[in-house]
Amino acid sequence: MTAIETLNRENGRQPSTETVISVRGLVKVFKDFWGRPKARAVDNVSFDVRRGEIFGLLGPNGSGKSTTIKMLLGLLHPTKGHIEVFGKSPRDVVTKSRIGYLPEESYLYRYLNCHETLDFFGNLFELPAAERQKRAEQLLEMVGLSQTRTRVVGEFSKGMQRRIGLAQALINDPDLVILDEPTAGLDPIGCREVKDLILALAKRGKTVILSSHLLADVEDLCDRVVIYYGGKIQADGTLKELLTERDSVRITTPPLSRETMQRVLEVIRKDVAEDKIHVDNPTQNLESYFLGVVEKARASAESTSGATSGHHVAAYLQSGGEAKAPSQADKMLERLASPQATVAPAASAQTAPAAPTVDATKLAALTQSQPAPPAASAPTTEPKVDLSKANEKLSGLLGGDKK
Amino acid sequence: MQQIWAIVCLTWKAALRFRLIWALAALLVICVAGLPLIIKDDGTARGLTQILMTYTLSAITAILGLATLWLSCGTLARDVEECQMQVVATKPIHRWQIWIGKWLGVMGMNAVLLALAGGTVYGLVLFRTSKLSERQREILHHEVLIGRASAKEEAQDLEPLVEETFRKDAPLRLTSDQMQDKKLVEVFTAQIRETFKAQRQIIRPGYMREWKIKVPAAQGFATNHIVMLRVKFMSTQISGGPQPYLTIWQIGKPESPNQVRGDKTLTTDTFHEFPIPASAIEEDGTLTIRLTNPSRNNVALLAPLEDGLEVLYRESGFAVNFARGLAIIFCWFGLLAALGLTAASFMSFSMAAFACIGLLIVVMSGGMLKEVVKDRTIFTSAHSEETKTETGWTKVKAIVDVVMVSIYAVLLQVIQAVEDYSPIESLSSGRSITWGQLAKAYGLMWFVLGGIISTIGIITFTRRELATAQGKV
Repeated sequence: MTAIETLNRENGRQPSTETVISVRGLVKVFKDFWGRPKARAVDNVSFDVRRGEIFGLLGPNGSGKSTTIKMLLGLLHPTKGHIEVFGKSPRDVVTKSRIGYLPEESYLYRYLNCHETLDFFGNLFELPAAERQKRAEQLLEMVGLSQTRTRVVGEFSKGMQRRIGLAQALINDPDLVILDEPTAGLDPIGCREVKDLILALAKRGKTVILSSHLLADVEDLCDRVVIYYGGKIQADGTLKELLTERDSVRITTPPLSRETMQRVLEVIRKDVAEDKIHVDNPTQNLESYFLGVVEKARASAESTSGATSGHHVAAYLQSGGEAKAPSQADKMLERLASPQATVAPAASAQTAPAAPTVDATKLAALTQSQPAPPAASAPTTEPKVDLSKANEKLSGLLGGDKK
Repeated sequence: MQQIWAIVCLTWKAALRFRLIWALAALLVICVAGLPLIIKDDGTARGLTQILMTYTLSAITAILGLATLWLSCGTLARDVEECQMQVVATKPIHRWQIWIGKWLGVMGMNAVLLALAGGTVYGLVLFRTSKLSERQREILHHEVLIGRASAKEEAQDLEPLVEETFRKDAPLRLTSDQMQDKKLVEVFTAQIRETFKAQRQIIRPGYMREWKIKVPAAQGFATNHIVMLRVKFMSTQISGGPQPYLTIWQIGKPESPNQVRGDKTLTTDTFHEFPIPASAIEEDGTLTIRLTNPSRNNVALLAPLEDGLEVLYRESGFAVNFARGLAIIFCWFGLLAALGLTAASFMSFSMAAFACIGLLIVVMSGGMLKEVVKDRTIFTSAHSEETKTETGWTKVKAIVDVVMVSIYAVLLQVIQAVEDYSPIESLSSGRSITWGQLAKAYGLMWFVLGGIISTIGIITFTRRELATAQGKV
């Protein structure tokens, strides 16, 4: 079980049985001017997405993910098949008031500034002026653009455009959030923040559809995925179903003494051949390491002219607004969401086999108390810095549970 | 409404931020202020004012008309091409609301620019008028800077007379075979019609022609109410140019104490205007006018039925009339904006702009359309020779003609209907654009033509797949 899965269970973020999206036999054939078939972008695709689920559409470029999303949004018409979103046609206008959409590029009006952009989209949801103002402020703060609110979007870097794009997708506090490559163009901190945000949304019972070809994003976040290739679904299921290697076992412990380690290996060798046993140190992933370094730098902070790190999930996106005593699940989330913990699944996934067999030298190294190398020590030697940041962020995230 | 208003504001912001509105405003002001410096007039204050208004209003109409087409095509087509529409269309807004919002946005911009340019023209005219002598100012306020309604003699339906004469004369002049020839019958009927028309137009030397004209609003006229007679006549004598002839006028009912008499030497082929007393109009609103062609002229005069004689009377002031004229120009822009948006509803920006401007050129070449409809063919006259020998190509031509001539006929009717509401000529000749005309113009151009065009555009846009274009952002 991955850390995220643990997190989900502990938070009670089990998707409900209520179907938000139902897709049956979906086919999309693009035609040329004369009506001749040009490309079969989506070919007989069927799936359901349930409420509270983070659902991943995974596949290489041109595999049909974005086309599927555009059909879910009513921007493209299916050649064949049936789509229901909240039990209605995807082109139903009332249904659209419950959807937030971030396209694969942030298709925003380049001549509007951040605040005007959010105000414009807020108007399309018929939000009152005061509410638009409030949400815009909170969202800009959340995506780290509060200091650039008067700059026009055309002047933004791609990453900043993604941030404002994400903000517009959340202006209506949507029940269904459709994110097409949400972390494309974002720096690692931005990626992490977006991922945290997605988790926070799901925790509130929001349904999230995530399309990406970045496997790490999907693995970190999704409850269930479908994998596209050539317009067809090649595999689908929960990450656990798809990723668990049932013919091997991993045991992780704090550093052990040489004697203990030898005893453990002795026991294992009785049942398992020598060349099947791998012993090594777990490593953190690069994202976690990078975040630690940046966090450290930020402690002696200098200002930046670009996007800043977002600090709080917009208050209206939190469930109750009032903080309450953290539940056991919340505590678990807090612990896991700290930089060391959030990378647990990725770290474990990236743990490479150290050597085909156990050699004595390596064993000696493993069993010694390790003086941590300077770079790698960042996340582990400064836990207070990381935790305070995580606490600050998660105090926003864990305002309560909608369900 | 909030959603439509958001789209309206977005369109304005685009026009402002891309500096389109500033560029157009500057261009309009330069045109309005600069044109009077280069145009030539006939030397009279009236001529200068008329030409000033005609040229400046035409320039404003042309510039803003093209800008309207360009902007309306761009505002929708570019949003689709650059994919912003993919984000907007996934919000809870109907496509028709987007379409209407864009139209209102373009029209809002037009309203501001037209008010600016129109206001400049109005100010310029008043400024130049203030520099004139008292006498010239009076002429201008009687003939140009005014909204004058028009009354003409009620047209007599000549067709019953034509038919009766045809029934009597045709058997005497045409053989039974000739009677079967449709073209010949048409020519014969036209000759009869022209004879009757000539009888009503020609005033022989020593003879008099009487008009009885109903002036509907005459009951409310004060004795000093401005009433003008507008006259144009020709002579039957072939000459190198306009010739002066003595004319004798009797205005008012014969034997009435209010009748006035007078003679005037007027030139042929020219419109003349002179004031007549409002008191000459009878209580029931009838104005009797008699024109005598003295024997000494020794030539017949011809007063055309359509525009030979017309009574013009003050209906409104210049400011109100000018505002109504601008309102009709604004109405044209509404139609153009609908056309541009409809084209952009299913075409790319470049294609939509090209198609609209192409259509505009066709519309402006109304003469060519008339020729085609009259000749019943879009091909050259050689076609008629070819038809004698039936070939595959002639059959194709015949089919093309049926389709194209029908399209041209509809287009021509539309153009003529729209041309009927041309305010520039009315404004420069001091003609009143009535509230009724204004309402009719809006009814025809916005609710009928605009309604049809908009419906096509909105339906097309609603059914369109918006995500096929690849973004450029």
